[in-house]
Order: sequence, then C-alpha cells, then structure tokens
Amino acid sequence: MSAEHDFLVIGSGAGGGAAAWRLATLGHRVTVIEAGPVFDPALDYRLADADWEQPFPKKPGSTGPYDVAPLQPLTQETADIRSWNAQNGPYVTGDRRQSFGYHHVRGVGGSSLHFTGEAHRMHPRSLRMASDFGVAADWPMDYAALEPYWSLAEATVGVAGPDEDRRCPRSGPYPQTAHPLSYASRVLARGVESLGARWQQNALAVLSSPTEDRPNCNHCGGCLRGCPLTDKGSIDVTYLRQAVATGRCDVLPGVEALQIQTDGQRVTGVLVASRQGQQVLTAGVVIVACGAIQTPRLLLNSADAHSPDGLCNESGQVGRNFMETLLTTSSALHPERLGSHRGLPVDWVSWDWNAPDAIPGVIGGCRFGPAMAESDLVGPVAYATRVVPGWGRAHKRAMRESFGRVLSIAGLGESLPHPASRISLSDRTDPHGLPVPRIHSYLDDMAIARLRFMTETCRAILSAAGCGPVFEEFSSVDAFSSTHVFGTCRMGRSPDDSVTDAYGRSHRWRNLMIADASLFPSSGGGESPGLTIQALALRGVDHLLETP
Amino acid sequence: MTSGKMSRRVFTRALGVVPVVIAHAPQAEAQSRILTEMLATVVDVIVPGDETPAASDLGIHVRLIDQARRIPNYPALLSEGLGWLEQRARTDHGLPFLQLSMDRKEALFALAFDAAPQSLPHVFARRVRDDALTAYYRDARAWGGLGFDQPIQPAGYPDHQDPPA
Ligand SMILES: Cc1cc2nc3c(=O)[nH]c(=O)nc-3n(C[C@H](O)[C@H](O)[C@H](O)COP(=O)(O)OP(=O)(O)OC[C@H]3O[C@@H](n4cnc5c(N)ncnc54)[C@H](O)[C@@H]3O)c2cc1C
Ligand code: SF4
Repeated sequence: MSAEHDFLVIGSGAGGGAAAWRLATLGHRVTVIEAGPVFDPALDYRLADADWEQPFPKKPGSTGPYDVAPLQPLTQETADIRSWNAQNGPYVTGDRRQSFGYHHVRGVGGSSLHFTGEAHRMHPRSLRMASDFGVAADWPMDYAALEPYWSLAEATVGVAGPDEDRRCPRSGPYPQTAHPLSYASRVLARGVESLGARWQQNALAVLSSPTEDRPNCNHCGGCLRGCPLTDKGSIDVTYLRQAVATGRCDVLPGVEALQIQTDGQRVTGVLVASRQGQQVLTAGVVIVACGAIQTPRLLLNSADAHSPDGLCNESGQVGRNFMETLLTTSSALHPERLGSHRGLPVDWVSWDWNAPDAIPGVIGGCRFGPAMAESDLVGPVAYATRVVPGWGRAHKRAMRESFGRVLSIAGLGESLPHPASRISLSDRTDPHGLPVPRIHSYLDDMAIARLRFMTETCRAILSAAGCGPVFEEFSSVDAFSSTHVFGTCRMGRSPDDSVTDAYGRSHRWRNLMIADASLFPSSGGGESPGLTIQALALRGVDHLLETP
Repeated sequence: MTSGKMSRRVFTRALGVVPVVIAHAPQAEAQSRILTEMLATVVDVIVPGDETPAASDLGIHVRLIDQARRIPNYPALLSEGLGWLEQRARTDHGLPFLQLSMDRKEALFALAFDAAPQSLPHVFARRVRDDALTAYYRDARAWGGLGFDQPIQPAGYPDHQDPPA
C-alpha cells in the first residue's frame, strides 16, 4: 500500500520549515503538520497600538505542554551573581533554582516568530568539544561540510551581516549589508572597546534592503513581540511562504502528532489529533522537527513492541544531553539621554570569548551583546515598574529624566551536557492522555564558573560605558529560563552513543529524519542556533534524496 | 522576566492574611462605590496629575477593577488592602481615608508600601502600584515629556542612529 504522504514533516519551526522548503523547491510533495495556530503578522502583532508593550501574543494552543522537575538547591557561593532588581528585590526568593520557563511558540513558524533574528554560524572549534576538550560530543561533520548550507540558509532568510566576519570563514559575502548600530548601542560598544575587547555588527535575519515580497526593517526593536512588517526572517514568511508557493507544500496548522508508527522495518505513519479527531497519516518519510523538548517526548511516547524504550532509542540517548540557554544580563542607567529604546535588539556582538577555551580556567565560551530589548527595557511600562522607584510626583519626574537612558548587556554561554540534565516523560498527561515532557536541568561547577565570568564581564562593560550602578540582573544561575534548547536526540557517527547519523537520520529507522536543535552534540559558545538548525535540515534533506 | 509575574507570585502567597473589612458600608452597592472612589484616590497617589493627566483621569482605577475580576483573589486583595487603609486612617487620624488631606493619604500609602514584605498592606500597595503604572503607561496620553510619543510602529525609529532629539 503506498503512503498518502511522500514526506510528512512534524513541526514547522526552523528545522521543519527549512526541510519542507528544500523538498518542495526540489520538486517533491511535502505535508507539514503543525500543532499550533497560524499567526498573521498584520493582525496579531499589534505594535502600532498604544498598548504595544506586551509580550508575544498568546492564541489557543500556542504553547506546548511541559513541566520542570525540582531544580537544584542554591548555595551561598552564587549569592553575588543571582537575579535581582533594585526595586523588587531578588527574583528568586526560595532556596532552589527556579523555573521561569521554556520560552517557545507553538505556531506556524515555531519559535522563530518571536526570535530576534540573530543568524549565527558555529565557531569551527566548538564542533570538536570531545576530541579537544574531553566534554560533550563531537559533531559528526566539520565546519566545511556545513558551510554551503549555512550560506544557503542565509540567502533564503535574507541575512544582513558585516563585510568582514572575524570568527567564521565564509565562501561569500552576506546577502545583505549589515544594519547600522543605534546611538545607544555605539555607547555600549565603546564600553567593550575600553576593556580591550572587540565587537562586530551582528549577523541578523532582518532585511536591511527590501526584497520582492518583504520590506526593509524600520528598527522599531519589537522583534520579540512579533514583526508586523515581515522584514524579520521568521520561518513562516521565508521558507514556508516559498515552499507553499511552489504548489507542492501543504501546511496544516492545529494538527498534533501523538505517536509515530512502524511495522518493525520502517516508519509507516503518524497518529495525529486535530479538531476533526484522531487519524493516522501514512507517510513514506517522516521528518520530526518538534524542537528539543517535544521531539524526544514524541519519540518516547511512540514506544511499541518494536521499540519498547521509545522510538529511535536503541542507544538510550533520546532525551539525554539536554542543553539550555546560559544567560546573564545586567542593566544600568547611563548619565546621558541615549534614546536607548530605539533600534534593533542585538545590533552588535562581541565574540572575543566565544572559542571553547577563551574564558580563563573554564571550558566552553560565551559572547556578549546589547540587551535593552531582550531585557524588555524599551518602553514606558518597563521603566515605570522596573527602573524608576517609588510613585507620585517624584516618580513622574524621574520617568521623564530616565527614559531612554538604560543600557543593558547580555552574555550567552556554552551549556554542556550533564547526566542530570535531560528530558523524561512526566506523570502529568495532556488532554490526549499522553505524558508531557519533563525538563530536568542541572548546573555543574563549570557552568556556574562560566556564568560568574559572564556576569562580571557584563558589569565591567556597563561600567566602562559610563553607566551608574547596576539596577537589575538576571541569571541562569538561579533561574531556568531557556530560549535555546538542544541535544536531546544527539547526532553522531556510532549507533551506540547517538540517536541519528550525521544527516539526522535514525540509525535504525532509515525513513525517519530528525531536523531540529535536538541533534546538536554541543551547544556552541552562545551562538544563536536557528541558522544551524536550518543548515542541518537542508543538508539532511539533500542526503535523504541522494540516498533514499 | 516581568515584574507582573513576580508580583502575582508574591500576591498569591500573601492570601493567608486576615481580611480587614471596610466598616460603615451597609449596602453592597454603596460599598462598591466607596471602594471605587478609594481606588481612584490611591491610583492618583501613585500617578498624580501634572503636565500629563492623573491616573484617575484616564480611568485607571476602573481598568484595575476590570482586570481584578479576571484574576482569582485579586478582588479580595483590593478590598482588604483598601480596608487596611481605611482602618489606619480612622485609627491614626480619626477620619475616613477619603476625607484625609492628600499628604496624609500619601503617607498612609507609603506606610503600606514599607510594611513587611509578605504582609497584606505591602502586597496590596506593591501590586496596585505596579498595575496602576502599567495601565497608565500603556496609554499614549501618559507619554508627554518622555521623548517617546507614539507606538513603535508603523514609523519605527528612522532616527535610531542619532542622539535623541
Ligand atoms: C525569545 C527568543 C528569542 C530567540 N532569538 C533567537 C535568535 O535571535 N536567533 C536564533 O537563531 N534563535 C533564537 N531563538 C531560538 C530559536 O527560536 C529556536 O532555537 C528555534 O526556533 C528552534 O527551532 P526548532 O525547529 O528546533 O523548534 P521550534 O521552533 O520550537 O519548532 C518546533 C515546532 O514544532 C511544533 N510541534 C511540537 N510538537 C509537535 C507535535 N507533536 N505535532 C506537531 N507539531 C509539533 C511546535 O508547535 C513548533 O512550531 C530565540 C528563542 C526565543 C524563545
Ligand atoms: S526591529 Fe525590524 S525586524 Fe524587528 S520587529 Fe521591528 S521592523 Fe521587524
């Protein structure tokens, strides 16, 4: 019996969208199922309303279920680098690390809908963490093997980047000219220079010049709330729009994969739920791209007589090696009016500590960049509630004196696998009766040392930029708050210690490919993962077509 | 990382406190009118009028009451917090809160704000301060003098490279 769907992609984020685009543009019919709804940029991202200062909009079904296992106790050694606000006190008041959530969007385009558009390649040396540093696992390919796919991804989403990229070799220039820095970002960049470090214009999937179907950015800074103009290269307005335009790609929102089915030899289809009820979609090839939390959950929930420990879990690695965002931010007021609410969220980046051995005494790198938007300090409401203390006339006066003077800086660092960091199935079930994923996160001494370096460097940059005392800090040291998640279906060369081969194909089930951040053997030193997820998906599809 | 989230958690923890009921309000309707009037006064303590409107001119107290209806336990926090202010006004000054001078109203609100972190008056004052400021600064009429005069779209910031005007 032939399958209803030649290629069935589960999940429409960075990985699923890129895979579907590659298939459709190479002439294949592909169906994408997406658990979440469609977001309409013009209608849903209300940045032209007076109450624009809101988080990314929620719609029915636009977040996925998960829970977080109790996190580790906090120790006195981290007391000076925890999350706090001068007015509100400590963000974490208990004696354990606390969850602030796995930040994601369930919707057509996945988490790219609220991303800031950073489009980074991996540092070449960060792909060899096991061989060179004895931690994590090596990537089963080198930088050169990924280079053409990073370039293809950059061209497809429209990345604007600097003329000279000091960190990563390139086969050609960025497709678009880099964005100019905002006035406030330049002041912050001078702080980095004063420390003897360098910065460069960030590579961003944000158009600096218009294309046929998308305008250029007007630097409103609202990317995290959804870009109404569509100049931001989220997956819905790039890969998926182009894939659908071929006439060979169907995107089905509100359709959730519950279980992947096999006949013992091959994957045969997917049990899905939608408003129409449950049904099985048969498929020739299944591409799983649900993100690093939901992909292992789906595989574990697909256990059957042929795979009693979960689908693709012959190595026991499904759900293991969970890596998360390691983040610190520090914010302070600058004495001058900077208009720091204006401009792109992260227009420059300092990669000086990005190499795996760049932080003294620590394995695993990090990077720094402006964070006024990421700290959500770009509007009057944030100033009124988090920056300016008190109330009454004095508060109003201080608002007028302070607005536009906040500088904020973020460090993002390497997260390394640890046996205690993983995804398991929870006792809690979803409305279909299936266990939700449970996140276990643990920071070891090395992670805490890296976070300490990041916080101290953030403070030093603000001070060198001329800021007054820090008024707010946020740190993964006491807050699990993950925007980047990786590693839970690690790719590798051997079926003994990895879930897939170097192309994301299950070692056992050759017509099942994984195409999301769960493939990452290591996280990199703070690089944003979206572009690499896309590159892996594009490369995986090419291999799938060459070697069916 | 939003202060809204933080204050919600603190608030929930504080609900074990003994309720303080507003005295001398025989009818539910009259009580609700007094609460609304008191809340209007409290939001004006938080955001008084000057070149830009006072909070009550923008109906912030009404918005808070609407918002409270959608959040479990919030209506109780409002009435108990306002009850605490009323009781202190009568104990300290022998007058209902609404009849105090503005200075005394401000001083009582400050007393509530500076109370012990998990206490009813503190949780009430903190929550109302944050929510009143949030609602107020979500209104374009509040933005005069900030150097920010319109939502971030559709114009964006074509001047983002320049020093602020
Ligand atoms: C605030 C924020 C800012 C960020 N900024 C950047 C940035 O600037 N640059 C960058 O590169 N990255 C950024 N990221 C991270 C980036 O968005 C993610 O790493 C990336 O989108 C992950 O892609 P993915 O394909 O692995 O998963 P996702 O984007 O999570 O996509 C998975 C999709 O699968 C769907 N799905 C899940 N389970 C099922 C199921 N059972 N059935 C059907 N569908 C399912 C989900 O609904 C979702 O749409 C940011 C993230 C956040 C939260
Ligand atoms: S800054 Fe540019 S990319 Fe971001 S939301 Fe505004 S217009 Fe869109």
